[in-house]
Amino acid sequence: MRKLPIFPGIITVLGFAIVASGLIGLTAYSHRPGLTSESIRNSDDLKKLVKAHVQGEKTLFLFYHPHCTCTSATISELHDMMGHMASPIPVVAFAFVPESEEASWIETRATRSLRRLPRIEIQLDRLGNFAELLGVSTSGCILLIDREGNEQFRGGITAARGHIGPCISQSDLMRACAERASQRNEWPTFGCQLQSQFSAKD
Amino acid sequence: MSTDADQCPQFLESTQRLFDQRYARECERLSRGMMWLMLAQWVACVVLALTVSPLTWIGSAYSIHVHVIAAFFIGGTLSTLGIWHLWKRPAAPLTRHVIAAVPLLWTCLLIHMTGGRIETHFHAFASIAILSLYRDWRILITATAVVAVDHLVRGVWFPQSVFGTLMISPYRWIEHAWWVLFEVSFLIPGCIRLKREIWTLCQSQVETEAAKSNVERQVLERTSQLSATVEQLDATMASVTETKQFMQTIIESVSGLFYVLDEQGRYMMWNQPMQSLLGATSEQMGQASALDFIHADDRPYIAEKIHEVFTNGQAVAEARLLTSSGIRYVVLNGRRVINDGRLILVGSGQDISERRATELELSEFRETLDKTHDCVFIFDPDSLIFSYVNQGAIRQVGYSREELLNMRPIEISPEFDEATYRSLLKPLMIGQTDNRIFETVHRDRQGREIPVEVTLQFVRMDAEAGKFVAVVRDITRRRHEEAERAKLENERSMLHRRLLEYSRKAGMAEVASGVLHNVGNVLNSINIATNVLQKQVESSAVASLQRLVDLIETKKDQLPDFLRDDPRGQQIPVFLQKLTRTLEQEQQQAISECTEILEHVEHIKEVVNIQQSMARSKAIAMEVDPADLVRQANNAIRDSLDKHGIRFEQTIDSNVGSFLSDKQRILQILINLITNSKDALVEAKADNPTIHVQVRLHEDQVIFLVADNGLGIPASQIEQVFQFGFTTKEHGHGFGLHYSANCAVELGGTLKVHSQGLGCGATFELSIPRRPSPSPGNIAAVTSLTLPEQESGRTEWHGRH
Repeated sequence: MRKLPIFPGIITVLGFAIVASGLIGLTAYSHRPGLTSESIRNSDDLKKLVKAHVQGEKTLFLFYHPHCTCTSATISELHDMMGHMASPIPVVAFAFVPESEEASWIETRATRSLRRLPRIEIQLDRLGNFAELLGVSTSGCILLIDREGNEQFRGGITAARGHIGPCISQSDLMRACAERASQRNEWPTFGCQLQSQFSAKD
Repeated sequence: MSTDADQCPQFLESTQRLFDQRYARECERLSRGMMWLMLAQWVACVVLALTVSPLTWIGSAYSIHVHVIAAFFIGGTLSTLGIWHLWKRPAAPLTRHVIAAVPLLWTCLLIHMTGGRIETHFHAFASIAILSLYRDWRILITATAVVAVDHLVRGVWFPQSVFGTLMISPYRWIEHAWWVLFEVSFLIPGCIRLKREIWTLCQSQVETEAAKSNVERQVLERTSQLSATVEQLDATMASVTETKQFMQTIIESVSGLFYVLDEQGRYMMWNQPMQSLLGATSEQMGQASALDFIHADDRPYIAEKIHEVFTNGQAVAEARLLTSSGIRYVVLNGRRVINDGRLILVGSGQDISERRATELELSEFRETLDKTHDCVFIFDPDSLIFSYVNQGAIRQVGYSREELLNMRPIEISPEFDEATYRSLLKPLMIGQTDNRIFETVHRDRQGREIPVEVTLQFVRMDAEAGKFVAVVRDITRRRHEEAERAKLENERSMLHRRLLEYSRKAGMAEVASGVLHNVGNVLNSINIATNVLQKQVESSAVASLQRLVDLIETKKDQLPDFLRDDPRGQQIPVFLQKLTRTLEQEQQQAISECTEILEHVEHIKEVVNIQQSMARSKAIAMEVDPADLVRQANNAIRDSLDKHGIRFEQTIDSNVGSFLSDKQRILQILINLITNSKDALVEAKADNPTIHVQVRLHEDQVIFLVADNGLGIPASQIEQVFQFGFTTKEHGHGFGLHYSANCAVELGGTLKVHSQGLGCGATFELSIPRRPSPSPGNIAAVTSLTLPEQESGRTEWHGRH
């Protein structure tokens, strides 16, 4: 009768257990969304401020961290969306810039990818102040704003950190862009944290 | 196609064992590649994470991205687990299953790291394809199971992480698993087929090896049987060889000759001494007859002896063998023996060549001793009785050999009694001296006494007591010769004394001849000078003065008038002036001749002195001017030369200065040479007779050459010209050149003559050292003169000191 390899078996089980745990932890991390933020406040001053950036019937506000690799998946999905739209919707991207950095700090692969969108405008958001005003704390968060300055969509368009591919929130945004939304939809955002003063980790 | 053998458990077991070995080797080879693949995946994943998502940000702060950590640790754990199994247990089934699971888990990690990119799923298909190289369909099932479980778990709880979308069916994992299964369904038959082929190959190999083993076994069996047979044969051969060697050893151990002949006289067997003696090879002996090695003169005799052995059973003979080293003498002994019904001759022999040679040498030695003129007596030191006498001894004493062999030395030596003789022998016996030589007398049988010289030695041989050897030589003749020699010695002594007397007288005569010759030469010159002076006096102008006196006597009364008026008187003063000059000239000539006569007289005195000094053998060294010498020699003989119209020439090299030597002797030599030349010229009546005297310097010698074109000297006489008494002149004495040569030698020089023969003139060469010999006695040491050495037309006279 063949002798069972006990020690190699133990090593094997232990090794696979570590790997399985790691993969599960990694997957859980990827699917943990960023901090949920408050909706835009309906103060007149803020509305005016928002409307100043609106360029058409509807405008997409993208808040992103130029160095966040997870946001690349969001930008990739934006490209995919624009490709499916008959008339591309304007996009205003607010790039987080630390106070001590120059404007060139935003020149990353993500920013270069954004510039390839058809109707794009990139603005610097020093210390993420504007994002904070609008209650956005996670890179990759998209707001759909109508002409009146009303917020029709808020959240990420990826199912997990850095994961490309169709997801429900993306379909919801497509629908909101195409139709007059009756209600505001809010989805979780997966990405890096924009403001460091937030205590919660992304 | 299976056979009964294939179903044999042993065959199956062998095939399985071979298959397992080959598969294990295949797994080991594959494992090495898989280890590198594991390592490469890990490194690639870490590089990918560091490139794509190195950092995660919180505002302006950042930290290492979770993907980097996951790639390092999760990927590291996966690859390490796989590498550990491949390294430690490359061929173990568990290893193969682990290796099947690890790549698929790598697929899970990579899909997550790439954000669920659908292209990353191809990693799973590629990994399964690589796993098929193991040809183990079971591990493909494991791989499929891992994929299915992964997709099931994540598809249910994290569909986005595996499918890239949340909008999927809960059964999508089945589709993914099905595709994997689809691939596996093709790979599994391939693995099974390949494995079966290997199994078939192993079967063939096992069959081949089994057949080979069977053949080897049969060969071994046959070899074993043959070995047993060979061993039996070897044992038999060993026994025979041992017996043969035993016999051969016995034969070889015989120091003498051993041989076996058949009835035809051919060698059948022989030992090594026999072969060595003959110097023949084994083949030569095997093919030869015994008579072939017998000397031709002995062959009939030996053939008769061989026949005698076969007839009578035994025979002994001596013969000469023809061997490679020459003729050897042997004694042969043969016996007839019956062997296997055949008659053979078994013989032995002995080489007696050395004994023969010794006997021969002894015989020759004895014969030589007998032929010796001397007598040889050998006698015993104790009894003194002769043990050997040679023929010479028998002849000398007249006794027979048998008589002498019973006698003692004292019986033939009357001067000795026994005690005296033993005392004579004693020093020889104790080694005090090697031999004793003495003279005595032997008395022969007739009583005559014979003077003899006896040389007595004591010869001690290695193992013997020793013998006295007396060599006796008859010295009767020697005694007689000694008496004769003494008589001759007396006569020789008397003759010697007489010879000395004659020599002294001859020497005196030679001295007198020298004196007379040299004085004669000078007197000749004096005679010439005296004649000249006489003629001068006879023709003197004094007679004219007498006539003038007579005239003045006649006119003495009227002398003044006569001197003034008379024409003859007027010529008187002129006449007196002329007369005065004439008389003055005559006076000068007379003085000159007188001076010359005085010089010749002086020369005569010197000659006498020299002759006197020859008795003392002393030389007189003084400064000599070569030109003055030539001049004096010329003056001495000038009138004679003028008389015969002989021209005198002289050449004196400027570098020849004065030198120290005996002037008178050199002058005497030169006068002799010039006189000889003059005589030769007069006798030859040569045209333009000339004597040429040349003086030159050669090395440290002053060379005087006196050459003439006169009669010359024939080659047959040239070696005699310096000998005493030799002359070709009618009135010559044969002394001049002999004396001159002696003088030259005494002066340390030489005198040579060169002449090409009659009518060719002659040249005498006088060589005188510029400095006298270091020892004045050198000249005095001249004791004898040798004959001149002659070259071609040249004779040289030199002394022996």
